[in-house]
Parts: sequence; structure tokens; C-alpha cells
Amino acid sequence: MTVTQFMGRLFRYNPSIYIVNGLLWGLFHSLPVGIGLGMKWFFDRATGQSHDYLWLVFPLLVVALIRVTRVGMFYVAFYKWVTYIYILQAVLRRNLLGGIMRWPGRNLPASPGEAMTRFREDVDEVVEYVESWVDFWGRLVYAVTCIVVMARINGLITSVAFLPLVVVTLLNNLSGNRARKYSKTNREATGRITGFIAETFGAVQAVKLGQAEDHVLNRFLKLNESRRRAALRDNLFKQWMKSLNQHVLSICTGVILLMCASEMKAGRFTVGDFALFTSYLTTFSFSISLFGYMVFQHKRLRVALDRMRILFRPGEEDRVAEHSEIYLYGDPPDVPEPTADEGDRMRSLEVRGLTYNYPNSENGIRDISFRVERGQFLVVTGRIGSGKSSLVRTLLGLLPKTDGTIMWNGRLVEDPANFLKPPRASYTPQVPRLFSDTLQENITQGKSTSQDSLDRVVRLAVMEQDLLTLEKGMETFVGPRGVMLSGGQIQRAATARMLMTQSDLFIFDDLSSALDIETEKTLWERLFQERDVTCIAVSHRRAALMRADHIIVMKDGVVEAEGTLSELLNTSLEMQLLWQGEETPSEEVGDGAEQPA
Amino acid sequence: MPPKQSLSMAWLLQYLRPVKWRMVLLLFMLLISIALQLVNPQIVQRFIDQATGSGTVSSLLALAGLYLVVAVLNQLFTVALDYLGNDVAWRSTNRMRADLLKHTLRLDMRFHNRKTPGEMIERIDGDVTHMSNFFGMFIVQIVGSFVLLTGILGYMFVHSLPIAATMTAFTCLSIGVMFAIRNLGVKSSQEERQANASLFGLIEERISGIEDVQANGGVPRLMNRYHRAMRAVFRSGLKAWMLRVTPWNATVILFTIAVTAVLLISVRLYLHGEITLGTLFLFFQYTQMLNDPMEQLGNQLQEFQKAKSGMLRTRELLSSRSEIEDGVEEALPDGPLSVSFEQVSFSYNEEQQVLHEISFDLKPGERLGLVGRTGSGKSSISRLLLRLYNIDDGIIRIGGVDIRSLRLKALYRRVGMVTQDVQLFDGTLRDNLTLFNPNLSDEEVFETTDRLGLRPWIEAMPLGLDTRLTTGGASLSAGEAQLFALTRVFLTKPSLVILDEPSSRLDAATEAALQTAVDQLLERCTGIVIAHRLSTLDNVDKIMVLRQGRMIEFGARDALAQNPSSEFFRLLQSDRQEELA
Repeated sequence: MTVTQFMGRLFRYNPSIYIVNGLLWGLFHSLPVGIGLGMKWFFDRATGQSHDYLWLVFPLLVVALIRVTRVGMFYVAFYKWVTYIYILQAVLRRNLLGGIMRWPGRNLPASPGEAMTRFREDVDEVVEYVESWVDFWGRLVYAVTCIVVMARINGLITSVAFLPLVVVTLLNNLSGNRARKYSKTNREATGRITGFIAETFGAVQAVKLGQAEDHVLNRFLKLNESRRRAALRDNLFKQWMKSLNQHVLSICTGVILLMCASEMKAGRFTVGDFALFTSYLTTFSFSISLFGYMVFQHKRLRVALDRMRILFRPGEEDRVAEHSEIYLYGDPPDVPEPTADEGDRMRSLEVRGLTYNYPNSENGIRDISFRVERGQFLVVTGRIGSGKSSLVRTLLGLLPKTDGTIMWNGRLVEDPANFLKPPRASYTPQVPRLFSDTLQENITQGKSTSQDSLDRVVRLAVMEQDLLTLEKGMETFVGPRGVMLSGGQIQRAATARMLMTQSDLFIFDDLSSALDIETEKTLWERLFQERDVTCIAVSHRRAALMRADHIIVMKDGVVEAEGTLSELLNTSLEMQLLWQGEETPSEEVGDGAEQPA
Repeated sequence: MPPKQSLSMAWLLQYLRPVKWRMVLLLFMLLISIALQLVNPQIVQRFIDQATGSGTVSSLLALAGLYLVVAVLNQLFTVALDYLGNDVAWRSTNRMRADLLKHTLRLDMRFHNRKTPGEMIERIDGDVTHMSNFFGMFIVQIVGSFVLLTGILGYMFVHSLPIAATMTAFTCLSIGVMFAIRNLGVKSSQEERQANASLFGLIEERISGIEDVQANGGVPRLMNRYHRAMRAVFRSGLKAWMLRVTPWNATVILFTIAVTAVLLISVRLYLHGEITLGTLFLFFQYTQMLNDPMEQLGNQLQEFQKAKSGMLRTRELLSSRSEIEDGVEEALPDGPLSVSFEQVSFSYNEEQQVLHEISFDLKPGERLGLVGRTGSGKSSISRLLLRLYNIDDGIIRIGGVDIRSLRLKALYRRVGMVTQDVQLFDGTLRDNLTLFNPNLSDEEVFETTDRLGLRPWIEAMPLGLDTRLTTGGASLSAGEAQLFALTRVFLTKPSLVILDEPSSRLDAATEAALQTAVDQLLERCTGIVIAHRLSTLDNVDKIMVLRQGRMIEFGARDALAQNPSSEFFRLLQSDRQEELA
């Protein structure tokens, strides 16, 4: 998508507000034509013969009236323009957020903090360019009228005023690449800063405890310094280009002076004409600057556009200018509940040859196949780094599979990320995230639910005791990423959130790692008392392994062994090792001294 | 910095002090540029008088040439001024950003628990950027505008008293009006900034937790939330913009009246033959030129309102004090540190007591295992030891020193903690392991990673320690991240280490291998280990069992493990039953 196509789509998004803005600002910018004519009128009368005071000052009063009208005009136009700014911001940010949320999991090609600059600076750059296009029509009308008026006074002198337009446009065309380069470095430097702030405050406890405040600050100072340089260069270049435009115009004014010197002596050029020319030329120079600057902006916008487009999945980048609803004047409609299509309820899930390679690394999973029937419990186990999490994340489309097929009730799943979500499947990550809302909001994800179903998931997730100790119960504010809760509480709240979706298939990625044995045991007991629960769980804990209908043992990204627990304990060395490691403590409870090998 | 200070320019000026010579240069160049601006209309005046009078074409051409030179010079100065002004602005705001970061990092965890990283981006970068124009350009433009005004008015005084008097009166009136309503948009601008901070906070948080949102079908509801937040930005923003431009509009009206009045008087003077046509034109040009400084003042007022709202928010942030008061004591005994709790009670908020009168002693070099269900207060004990929160009652001593009298730096230098939650930076592996500490050599890093079994993994990376961890460590498994956290802490060579379930995300086989390394590392210091899995606690000296914030058992591990009436014995039993069931 070119910048032109992008802008075209953006203008068509809400054409009426663009047209209204264009008209209002058009009037605003063309009113100075009247001021110039008024002043010429005045000076022509002043040099004339009649010396009647009122007759002489009448044009001045007209000029004053035009000026006051212009202020009123400005107020209305400005209101419309600010409205337009927010409409543009809202739609672009909405599309960006939507685009990001369609990425498979954390594969976004920008860190969260860094992505924020695209929501801020890059969106603002688009708004700035639209502003130029709003001003454009008025400036154009003004410029054309000026030229016509001036040409009728003196054609030769006026033609000199055309020259800068050509020169400026040429200059800007030549400087496009450098403009883009400077702008890009500037943006990147800013992105690094916002990313760094986000990460620092995400890791504030580690920074405090690691006595890293000074080191973090030094890094921040360095980033700031490099942004200062980048911003200065970017800005200097911008100013230089702007001022080149002005230069050309100053020269032209000088040339006009030179040319009209003899004309004025000869009386073919009046003081009134001169007043008109100087009055027009200063404002006219803004128009020319704007046109030149727009060429520059147009080229520069390529950077911002590319930075925004990269937040979209390959192939759907053009959705950055999608015409989405933005609801600035009313509440957005309530979110429709995904309804489960009875015919499509899960009967079986089959995975064949699932493969994923992490880019630039040999890690990943290769050729994984398994099958889960409704009501079954599948456990994926293995050592650290054996690919357990990668397996479930690839299954869910949070990592884009490089090969393999996923079948739902025997039917091929084309886009797992879009398909395997509530009410079909839901998921608790290994390190779940809560958001800075109340606990209830986190569990229900903003959906209105009955107290009964809330109580049910809280009980299933073994959270009822915690609720009693939390000051405000369900209304407790959990803080960013849930920091007000303990690790175990976050994990169980995330489990409750998953269960709340009432999906056919629940996927636990190491749910039990933050839970003590008693709590975990209760959780599995309660979950399997429910009828008709299908689970895939990543776990290396006995509590889970013993309840599994089927176990997959992963090693180095491939299936090392699979089967039931008793089969595996007999046949698989890896399984024995994993089981053994878990077993050792209870064996040695009595004397408790030796370490397992 | 004193805790409370009235909001004043003086506070901002402190950020300009380091760039004062640049400011002086800036002002000097500004004066030249203004002088050039004042000269040009004079040239035009001569030009007209000579063109309509007795001047020769060659003298007219000379004047036109002079005009050209002055105009070009003026342009060059404009660019230089802009560059210098920007430089001053970036330098001073970067200092402010650094101050903000430094200050907020020192604030206690109660503060951080309320702020999202996205909101912090807005407050440290966004708000300050709003102020950037204020530094440098604001002062320059204000001073410049006043000098230009004075220059024009001064010239008029020489030529005609009534015109100068009228112009002065109107100028003063305009400035007065501008000042009177200068704060019109400040409050709504602040609201606008806050609405923006909330919006970006929401977006950043959801992008960070993208998998949680996606895989639980939360995207449609997120979009709903986004629309509400964006709408709040729209409503506050529209109001703020409109209020901000009002002072500017007021001055334009006043200016129009002033210009008209001056011209009316000039016409009378011209009719009486007191001034020439060239001078009439000069007055006309000067009144036009007055427009510029007035417009600049108006623009700067708009900027001022934006800056002030940013300034208020920044000041508010800088004046928020940590609840944790730093002590003065630096000295801690060498070697492993003892720990003692005396009747310690603690609550995160008033209604809910988390710890009740906890008392225990730990000798240097001893290892304590903390056992209890989630929410029993185990993690709170570790947080208190590091003074992340203040205790309500009682005394905590480390190495015999009350931790309240210790400097936090001294405390953190000797005490380390590994938590379940591992945060990674977008940077190289080295940055992440050393937390940007340039004083740690690669040998030291490799020595520790070797022990913890992370070294082969690092060496498998394409650039070793220089490999970049992209997008917050998405390519790292949780288990690997936990090894990172352990390395980080042991690299600081602590004398007291708190391990808050460091192995919870590791599988049993890896954990067993790791246990030996951790035990070795623990030999050099006192250790407190929090665990769900009792297996982690085989090698500790003491055990404490917590239940609902009370210490129900404390004693030597071996004695408790063999005493059938102890709580720890019961826990071991249920653990064994679970394993054997």
C-alpha cells in the first residue's frame, strides 16, 4: 500500500468531516485575499486626490471586519478539526490494536513498550499530514486567487512569484530519502526509550533488589542522549528544508522589489499595488511552504506507515486503514457472547505432524502427533526446554506452525488461533498475566455473569479461601499484572478465568507450578468431579500424571515416548527419570540428607 | 529536593542551569535576528519614499539588494535559533526524564503496584515531551516577542506620540488579557493527559499479556474497553483544545482593534502632512509585524498550558515520597548475616492483617525453610526483609542492625532475592544477566552460569552473551527465565539470599540437578527458602510453618521431621501420601 492509497482510504473513512474541514479552513485561509485587496484599496485612495477622512478610512474598517470574521471562522473550524483529529486517532489506534491482537501470541515484531510509540508518534504523524491536506485546499484557492489578482496588476512581476514553487518542489523531491532516514532513526530512538521505560517498570522489583537503579539510569541516559541527537538532526533537516522554501521566497521578494523599482518610478506600479504584493507574498509564502512541506511529509510518512504496517500480520497490512467503527459519540455495543454451535461441540481433537522452529535457532518441536477424545485428560511432560510449552502454544496458534495438521471432529482447522478459542478451547499460560482491574473483572473478562457461575469457577480453582482473606473480595484491585496477589493466587485466578469461558477443551500450561501440593490436589479432584471435562495439561507433577488417560513425554522437541503412566514407567527411561526426581523427597523423608543424583 | 515546594518557574529553571551558556548564546542570536527583522521595513520605507519621490533607479536597486541580504541572513538565524532552542529543550528535558526515572524507581512497591508500565511511559516520556517546547523555545520566544514589541513601540515613540501611546495601551491590554485567562485550559489539559495515560496503560498492558487475552477470547471485550478509553480521550481532549485556543483568539481580536486604531490615527497625521506616504506604509508594516510577537505569545500561552499540565503531573510525581524512609547506617558485619524478627506484624492495608507477631532468630550461615499454603504470608516475610514495605509493629534485624536504620543501598548490596516472577529486558543476554552493570566481567558471568547449568544454553546462542533477547524474552521458556533470575542474584554475591520458590517452574529432573548448584551457592551466605515442594527443603537447617499469617512452628528441620506431633511431620506425611496415592 502506497502512502497515497493509505491517505485515500483514510479520507474516505469519514468523507463528510473531511469536506467540512476542507470548506471551513478553505474559507479561513482565503479570507486574507480580502485583506490584501482592502489594503490596496486604502493605499490607492491615500495616494489619490480626495482627502476626505471617512472616505479614506472606509477600506480600513472593511479590513477590520474581515479580520474579526476570520476569528469567528477559526473557532468553528478549529472545533471541527479537533474532532477530526480524534476520529483519525481513534480509527488508526483501533486498527493497530486489532491488528496486534490477531498476531499469534507473543510473536509481535516489536516489544510492547516499543509498540506504544506507534500508537503515539506514528499516529500523530498521520494526523499532521492530514492537517496539511485540510489546509491544502484553502491555501490553494488563496494562492491561485493571489496569482490571478497579481497577474492582472503586473504579469511579469507575478511570473517571478511562480519560480519558487518549482524550485521548492524540486528540492523536496531530491531530499526525500534523507528525510526518511532521519525520521526513522528518530522514531527508533524514541521506541527504544518507551520500551525501556515499560520494561523497567515491569521489572521494578528486580531492579530495586538487584541494586540496578544506577545501571538502569545510565542506560536510560544513553538512550536519551542518542534520541536527542537523532531528534536534533531530524528537526534541523526539517527546519532547513522549511527555511530553504523561505529563502527562495525572500529572494523572490527582493527580485520583485528590483523589478518594480523602475515600474514605480514610471508610475505604472502604485504604492497600493506594492502594499498588495507584500501583503500577499508573506501569506503566499506560507502556501508555497505548505506545498513543499507536503511533498516532504508525504515521503516521510512512508516511515510511519511502514512502522504501523509491521504490527499487522503478513498479508493483512492494508487493514491499517480499515474503516472500523469507533463509537466516539456513544457507548460501544455490548460484546456478543460466542455461542457454541451444538453440532460442532468437541468430540475429538487430532494433531498430526505438528512442527514449529524458533527463528534462528534449532529449538522448537518436530513432528508431534496425538489425539484427544472428549472427556479425556492428556498430560504433556518432559524436561525444561523439551518443547512442552511450545507444543501447546503451537497447537493454539500462539506460535505459527511450520508444518502439520490439526483436526477438530475430523475436520481440518485452517487457522488455529481463530478457531481454538472460547467456546471451543481456552488456555492458562505458564506465567499468566492478570490486568489492572478488579479480581472479578479479571476472572469474567468484563462479561456479566451470575453469582452462581462465578462461585462455581472460584470453587473449582480453589480460590474460595483466598477470597475471604482479600480485603474487598471479588472487588479487590489486583494491580498491574496482578502484583497485589501472590503467585499462587494469580495462577488460580487465571485458571478461574479459563474455566469461566466454559469451553469444551481446557489447556493448562503448567498450572500447578505455583501451587502447593494440597491446593493442587484439591484442584484436580474438584475439576474431575465435574462431568465432561476435556483437558490438555503440561505438567511434570505426579498429581497430574496419575490422572492422565494418556501421557506424551517430550525430549528435545520430539515425542520421546507416549502411553499410559504404567506403560511408560516400564518402558521409558526419560519417564522414569522424571518420575524418580519427583519421587525422591518422599522416599527420603525420614533421614532427609542425601541428594538425588 | 524539599518535599513540598510551591509550583514555580524557579523549579523549571533548575533544569536550565546546566545549559545556561547555550541559553545566553540563544538570546544573543535572538537579538540579532530581531534587529534584522526591524531593519527590513525601514528599507522598504526608503524604497517607497524614493520611488514616489526623487530617488534614482540605481539607489532603488541598492535598497532592493540590501533587502535581499538582510532577508537571507534572517533565514539563517532562524534555522540556527531553532536548532539551538531544540538542543536546549532536549538537554533539559532529558535531565528531567532521568530525574523522574530515578525518583520513581526509588518509590516503594505500594506505588508501583498501582501504576501500569504504559502509564509510566506517559508520565516519564509523554508529560515531559509536552514540556519540551517550554524549555528553550518558550523563554526565547517570550523574551524575543517582548524585545520585538519594545523595538517597534520605541520606533513609533520617536515618530508619533499618539500612535505609540495607542499601540502601547493595546499591547498592554492584550498581554493583560492573555495573562488573566492563561490558566483557562490547564485543568482540562491535565484531564486530557490522564485520559491518555489510561488509554496507553490499557493498550500496553494488554499487548504484554497478549496470549492471556487471545486464548481466552478476551479480544472483543478488549476492543470494547479500548473504545471507552478512546472516547474519554476524545471528550477531554476536545474540551482542552478549545479552552487552550481561547486566549489566542482573544488577542487576535484585540490586535485587530489596535491595528485599525493605529492606521486611523496615521491617516489623520498623513492628511495633515505630518508623515510621508513611506512612513504611513512603514506603520502599516510594523502593525503587521506586531501580529507576529502577539501570535507567538498566544501560541506560547497554549504551549504554556500544555506544559503546565505536564509540569503539575510531573511535580506531583516528583513530590510523592516513598513510605520507606532511608536510614543512615552503612555498616553490616562481614560474611553471612544473621536475621531476627521480633514481634513483627504487618498488613498491606488496614483491614487485613497479613502477619501476626512473628518472632524468630537465624544465625549467620543458617538456612531456613518457609512452609505454608499460598497466602499464608511467606512471600510477605521476604518482602519485609527487603523493606519493600514498612512493618506495622516490631523490629527486623539483619546482622544485628535494625533494617530501618540501614541505608537501603547497604541493605540491597548484601541481600538478594529470587522471585517466581522473572522480568526480562529487551537487550542482550549480558544486559539481562548483569542488569546493565558494566563492572561484571564475562568470566564472572560464565562462572555462575556454569554452576547453574545455563552456560551450554548461552553458548548455543548465535552471538553468545551478545545475543539480543527480543520482545521481552518471548523465546525463553519460563524455566530458562528462572535460571536467569538465579544467575542475576548470585552474581551480586549476596550475604543473605531469599529464594521465593525459585524452582517452581522447573521439572523434577532439572530441579534435582539445579539443587546441588543452589546448595553450593548458598554455602557462602545465610539463606531463606520458600517452597511448596518439601523436597526443596531437604538441606535446610530450620523450618518455619506459617498458617494465615501466624507462625505455628519453628525449629530445627531434623527434629521436626522426626517428631510425629509436629505440623511439619504431618505435611511430610501428606506429601508422601500424595506421591504414593
